[in-house]
Amino acid sequence: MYAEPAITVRRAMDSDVAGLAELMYRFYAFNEEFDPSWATVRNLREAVKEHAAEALRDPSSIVLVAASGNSVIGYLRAALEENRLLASSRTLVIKELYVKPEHRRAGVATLLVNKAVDEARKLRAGLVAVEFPSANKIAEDLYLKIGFRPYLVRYVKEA
Amino acid sequence: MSLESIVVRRMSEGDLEAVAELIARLKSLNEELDPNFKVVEDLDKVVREYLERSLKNDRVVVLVAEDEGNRLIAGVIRFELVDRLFYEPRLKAVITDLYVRPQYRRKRLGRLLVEKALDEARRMGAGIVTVVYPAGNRIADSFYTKMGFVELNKELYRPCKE
Repeated sequence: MYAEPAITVRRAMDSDVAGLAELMYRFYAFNEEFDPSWATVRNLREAVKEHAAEALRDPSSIVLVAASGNSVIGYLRAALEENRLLASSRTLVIKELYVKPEHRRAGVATLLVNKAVDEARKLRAGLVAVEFPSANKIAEDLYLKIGFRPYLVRYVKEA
Repeated sequence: MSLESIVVRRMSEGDLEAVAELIARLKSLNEELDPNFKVVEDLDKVVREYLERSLKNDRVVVLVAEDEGNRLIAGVIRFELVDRLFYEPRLKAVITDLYVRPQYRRKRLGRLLVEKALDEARRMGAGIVTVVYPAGNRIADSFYTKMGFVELNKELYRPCKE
């Protein structure tokens, strides 16, 4: 008998890059199932390694990880967006959020989002936003449950 | 990308690698939609063996949609003939797997695969076709509803341990 290590949520470090790349791969692979416009490049496995490294380097990107012991079981990537014409000029936009299936339904996504909201406050962003494919009911139910509301709609058409 | 260069045919031995990738993606998608479908560690090996057995089984049909222009397998459908024993019509075709690559979606390729499968099933004597997929899969819900499928059975579950 052993106790499962507790889940901790923190900023991602360089040592997390391999675990992060794996989760990013799964995030993009999952999203492409919802709409052909999310179809990924053929060398996705390679491309996510660079994407993970870049996200850690980028000062306007916030990457959080949920760790269980030594392994990364979930992550969130957000970017700060600014529009000087709006009274609430800064928005922290959650671009990617993924938790491994075996760790789902345990509040991990909520922990990640709550930490993102903390980070938003530190950066004086008045709004936290999230984007996900319209057909992703799992994401929609999750965000509605933790207090998000519909905000912006993006429609697409093949050119 | 249009459907002009797509050909639907029976799967052959040479398609094993490509089709195994598609089936593995389907099973991984099921895992994403419901943790009750957590995939096994050696998924790729299990999928390959499943397809090898399928090719040798007279009651199983695997059709692939090949993009001849790009020489790529764009989609796959697998069904098995099952004797319902107590009910008429006795022979049913059960669709066990259907998967189309994301960049080939929304082009009615899934519909084409189902229609070709139905043609084959009819030729083999099946009177009814059914499909089973995880309850949370809304993509499948809307796809099959649009094709005229209606609920037939219910499957409930609970863990064995207390």
